[in-house]
This record gives sequence, C-alpha cells and structure tokens, in this order.
Amino acid sequence: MNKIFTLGMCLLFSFKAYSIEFEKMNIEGYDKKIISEKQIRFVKKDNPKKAIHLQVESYDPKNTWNETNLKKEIEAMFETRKDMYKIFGFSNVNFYDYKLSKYKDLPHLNIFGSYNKIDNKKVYFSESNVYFSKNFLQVKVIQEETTNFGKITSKEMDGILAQIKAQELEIRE
Amino acid sequence: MKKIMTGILIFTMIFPVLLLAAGERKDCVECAVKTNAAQAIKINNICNDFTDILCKDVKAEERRSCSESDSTIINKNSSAKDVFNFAQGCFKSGVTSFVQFFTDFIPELLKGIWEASKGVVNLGIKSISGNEPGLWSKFKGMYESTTSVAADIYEAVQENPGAYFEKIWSKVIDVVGPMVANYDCLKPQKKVEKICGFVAEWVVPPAMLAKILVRGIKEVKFLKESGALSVTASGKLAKALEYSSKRSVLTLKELQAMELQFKTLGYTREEFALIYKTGALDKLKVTDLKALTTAEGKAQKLKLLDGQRVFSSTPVKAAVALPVVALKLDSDFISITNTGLKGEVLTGHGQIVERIITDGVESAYKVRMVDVKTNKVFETVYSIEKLAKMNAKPAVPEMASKIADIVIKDKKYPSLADEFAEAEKKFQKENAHKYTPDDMKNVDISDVGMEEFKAAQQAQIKLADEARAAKEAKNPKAIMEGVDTHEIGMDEFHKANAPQAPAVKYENGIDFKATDSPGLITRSKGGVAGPAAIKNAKPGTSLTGAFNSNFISVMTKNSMGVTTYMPAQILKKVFVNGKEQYVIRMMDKSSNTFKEITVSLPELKIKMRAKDAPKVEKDIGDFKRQTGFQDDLLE
Repeated sequence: MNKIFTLGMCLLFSFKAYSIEFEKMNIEGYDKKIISEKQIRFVKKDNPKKAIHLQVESYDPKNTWNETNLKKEIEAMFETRKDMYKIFGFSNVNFYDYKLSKYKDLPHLNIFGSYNKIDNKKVYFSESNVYFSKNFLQVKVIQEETTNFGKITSKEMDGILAQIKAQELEIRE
Repeated sequence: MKKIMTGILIFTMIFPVLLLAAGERKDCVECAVKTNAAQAIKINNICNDFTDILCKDVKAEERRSCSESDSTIINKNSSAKDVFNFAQGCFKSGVTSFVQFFTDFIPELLKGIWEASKGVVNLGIKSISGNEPGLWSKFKGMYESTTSVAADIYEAVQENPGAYFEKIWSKVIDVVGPMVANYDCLKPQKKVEKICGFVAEWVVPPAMLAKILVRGIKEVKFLKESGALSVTASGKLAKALEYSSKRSVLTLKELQAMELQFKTLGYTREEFALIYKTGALDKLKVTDLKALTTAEGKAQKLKLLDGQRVFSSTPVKAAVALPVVALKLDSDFISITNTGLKGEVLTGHGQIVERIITDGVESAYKVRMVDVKTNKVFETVYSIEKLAKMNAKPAVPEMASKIADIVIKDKKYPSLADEFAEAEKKFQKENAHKYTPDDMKNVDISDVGMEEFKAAQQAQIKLADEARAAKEAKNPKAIMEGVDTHEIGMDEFHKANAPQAPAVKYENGIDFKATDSPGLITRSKGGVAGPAAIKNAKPGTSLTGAFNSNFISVMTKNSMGVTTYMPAQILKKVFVNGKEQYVIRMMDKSSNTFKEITVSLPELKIKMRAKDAPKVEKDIGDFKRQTGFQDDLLE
C-alpha cells in the first residue's frame, strides 16, 4: 500500500495540467492563500466570513452556453447542483439570478445564489465564469449571511476580475 | 494509478472519523452524567428494548453497550488534523496533505455525483460512446458546478469537518451497514474494523463512491456485476450481498421505520417491541394493519398481543408536580377506599400518572390502579371530587414501593390483597395523622367529611379570630386591605383610608401589601392609586379599566365539560416579562378551593370570557363568604 501510495503521489505531482501565476495575483483588502496549482483563495481582511475562490478548469468548447437554451440549461444545472449539495448536507439551494455576457470579449456567465450550510447558516455566493479557448476561470465570492443581502454587484465582480487581470491570465496546458 | 490515488484520498475523508469513534465513548459517558436521571432511565429503557430485539445473538465481547446504541462512528468535532490522523491509522499510509482531499478528491467525487445524478451510467468503469444521443448535454455545467460546489465545501468543511464527514459517512453506512452482519450491534471499534476491512476493497475511485451515495445498493450490485472489482473484492462483495438479501434481523434504521408505522396506527413503542420480539408479526403483515381507532385495528392488536397487556416501561414518577390541595397528596402513589355494591369497603392502590387540566383548571387524574386480587394493572380516570370522596391518600411507603414494582416494573406478586390490608392497618396505627390548623387552609371539609378536619377547622377559626382581634387592636385599618370599597359600598373604608398599612398577612394565608391589595383602585390610565385616589374613587372604576368592577365572572368548565361562570376577583396588576398581567383569585370548583392565577387581559377577556359580575352584590357576598371575608370585622 505504501508503495502504491508513494507512486501515486509522484504521479499526482507530475500532472501539471495547468499553470497560472497565482504568486503575482492580489486583491486589495484580501489575504491570499494558494491552495493548489488550480485554486487560490482570498479572505477579506476585515471579514473572515467573506472569501473569494479562483479556480481554473477545463471545459468542452464545443458545448458552450448560448442565450437560446440558457434558461433551460441553467435550470438543469441547478437541479443537479442541488443533488451535489444535498450529499454534503447543504440545503435550501437557490439561484436568484444568472446572466450570460461578455467580459473583454470573452464569454462570461454570472450566477448569484445561496444555500444553507449544515449548521443552517445561510451563505450567499456570486460566481463568475470566464471562458477561454479550452479552459475557464471561475471566480466565486462566498459570503456568510450578513445584515446586507449577500449579492456582490457586477461592478465589484468586474473590479475583482480587473485586479486579477482575468483577460490576461496565462493558462498553459 | 490516479484511481488508486483518489481511492486513498477517499479514506482521508471517510476513515478519520472511524477511528475517532472509539474516543467518542468518553464524551458519551460525560453526557450521560449530565443527563438528568429521568432522561437517562428513559434512554436506557428504549435502548434495552431495541438491543434485546436486534442483538440477542451477538457475542458479548463484540456487542455494543446500551450507551453506544446511538453512537456513530463519526465525531462531529473532528478537526482536519483528526481526519488526517485517522487516514494514517486506518491505512498505515503516508498521506501528506489534507488539502489534497479538497483539490483532488472532492472535485472527482462531485463529478461522480453529477454523472450519477444525470444518469450517466458506467462512466469511470467502462468507456462510453460519444455518439450516445444527448450524452454531452448532460455534462453542460458539470465543470462549473464541480469547482463551484468544491469551493463551498472547502469553506464549510474548514469550520466543521466532522459534521460534513458524518453526513457522507451515514450515507455509506446506509448502503454498507445492512451488508455487515449485526452491524448495529457491534462496538464502535468493531464497526471501524469491519468497514475499513470491507469497504476499502471496492469504494474506489471517487466516482464509485459517488454513485453509491446517489444510487445506494443498486450501485453496489452493479459494481459486483460490472467486473470492475478484483476477484477477491468481488467475492467478498457477493458474500455481503447474499447476507444482506437473506438476513432476518432488521437494521436499527429499519426497526425504527417499522416502529414509526406502528406508532402511526396507535401502538406504543412497548407494544411494538413485544409484538416484534415474540414474532407475532408472522400472524399479520404490517401493510395489512389498521389503525387502533377502528374495530378491525383493535381486533388485530388483540391477535398480535395475544391477550398480553403492555404498559409503558418508562417510570412515571412524580406526575403530580404540585400538591393536590383537596386531597393533601404529597405522592403520586395513592390508596383509595370505595364502597362496593353490597356496602363493603374496598381498598385500591395505584399511581397517578397524568394530571388532566381543563381550561387551565386541574380537573381530574389518570390513575394506574392495581387490582390486588388479580394483581393486574388497569388505567382509569377519576375526577378530583371522586378521588376526594374515595378518600385518596398517599400510599403507605411499603405499599408505594410495591405499587411501583407492579405499575412500573411489571413485577408480579402472588396476591397483594392481604399484604396491602395488613400494611395499611399497621401504618395507620403507627402514623395516625395529626392535623394542624395549617392543614385546613385548603381543605374542603364538606367533601372529605372527616370529623377531625372539622375539629381542626374550629381550632383554625379560633386562632384566626384571635389573630384578627390582636391585629385590629393594633391597627384597625390593616384589615381593610383587599376590599374593593366602592363595590362593597362601605363608608368605613373611606374613613380608614390613610395612611395605608404596611404589609400584613391576611388570615387566609395570602400575603397582601398595601400597594397591591385587591381593592386598590387605579386611575383610568393605570398605575396603582394612592390613598387620595381611593378616597375619591367612584364606583365603576376597576384595576384593569376593562370592567366596571374588580369583581367579575369568568367562564370555566367542570370535569364533565359543562361550562359555568364562576365569580372571581382581580387582585392586582403585575408585569411578567414586561407584559401587563393580572392576578385573579377564582374558585376552582373541582377542588372546591380558591386559587390565584396570572393572566393577561386578552386571556381574561377572550379565553375566560370575563365579564362584570351580573349580580354584583350577591356574587360579592358569596365570594366574601367563600374566601373567608367576614363582614363583621369590617364594622
């Protein structure tokens, strides 16, 4: 088992599927923690209940979102996400809003929603997916319920994307 | 290889909690200590019921204790470090990072859940055809969703890893538990061993686990048939599936579900336990059972119980939280005396198990009685009047313990009739009750009809007279407290209005202070009036402002459910949690005593339908007599 594990670890670290320069990336007012080569997390300095996750992942460019079927496809995605959340004890999942647009000429899907954690505390999230040629960048702002409604404005999201220079991100494969 | 890697990572999630289960027992013991005695007894009894059913064939060294019945193998307080340590302990492996769990395993697991949820069968086990119609549309949004939900899990799990592991683990147990022989009866550590040694063979990679989480046992069967497992694992799984399909013992969860079905039909847990334990269910199918409210259901119950009567094994102790003043009971174990058809004196013994309150008024008691001739237990309801007439009194200690043995522990005695009679006689002789004037305060002697009570009351009246005389000599104004002067219409009170007397104990045992005496009149905007206001008060003013007088009539129901209006008096205004309420003195017809209750004005007006006393003078006169006011003292 040890040998298999060691071999597995070696192989795992040899899979450098993506590379993104997280070291240079900063968002004003947030502390940074690099989780993996594909994921970075920012936590608001004055509010640890607010975090931003950046992840890069592959997708099928031939199977992209389009306005024609967007509502139906988002609804289908929502239903399946609910199943995912449910397995982990999350509940009361909601999508309040979604929008397909362009960010610097790149396809851009925004979703705003909420869910309840296992302790029943409500969490709002704003998710922004920016699609490159073969991969996409996901910026997800997660905020535990506050007195203010947890939606971040498109201006704030644009500000985050601008700060990380999303359109210039080098994503090597 | 990636599958092996992710497989290892699965256990970084799952198995830490298993090892922690062993450490959970200490917490449970501490919890049990903190639990109050009554709850502990209840839990133990419940546990024993199901343990007896489920675990009778399990070896003692492997069998869990009663306190471990609800122990899960998950510790909700597990930290990320605990999880990591557990993985090492379970696998003897060198997993290096807890974070890998989130970056590698969770997204893989979520993809598996997506596929299973979308009905993409086989993915990860067999190659799929890209030409399958509509297949790719099933993946639209999958990558966005897996990264998105993984981020949420990352945030949430950091706060409370144990709780999330428990959630997933319980789903695994739902599937795997029924395949492990007597899983619910095993000690926590034994459960760990079984699961670690069993599941490790086949719950890899994450896609397989995901499908099991979503599809349950169906997926396990599919796994066996898919050829995706090793020969050894497949053989082990086949054996487990065979056990699962042929097992005769229900799992705890199944048992609880069945109990719920019975409960819905009207059966008690004890009845269900007995029916299950005796195998009586073979006589009828659960699905054919009818509610006990139907004749058919009652007949079915008789058949299932085969004539056996079942009472709750939960001790019902101290059901009477407050002393029953008319009966002077300080125990819920009682003895009663009744007259038989031929005029013979019959003695009964039992336990008051439930107080029945009608419209806020104590009206009757459910009593579990012991038939001392047949040693059988039966339940009945007696009104308080009936109990008083039957001279209900606390059972003598020796008998109380035997009553408890019978009604609680279902212990059998050959025959208690003589024993009861002898013990009663002996106790009476040794402990002849000596009544004091204090005993008389709340006793309606007309119902009890005991000579000694009457004698004691005379003594009480004499003492009261003396006290009044002494008090009057010192401060004649004090005795005026508690009188609503303008309703009673006594000018003497006005003359004696100031200064108000300090607190004084009224002879009927109720303390009144000068500022909250029942007769004080309020100004129209509320607040307690001073002497001047009292002096100038006009008839029609009341403490609440809602009635013309503090003397009112309120609606009550007697034990037979008959609605009557009873006289009552608003004594004072109080504030409870910042809300204005009124203390009302009213007669409790069922116990023939006066009681004071605190109600809000809406409760008074709506629930009790209070209104001005229709015949004020008569009612007040009655009221005064009933409460012990004596007009001659006011002259």
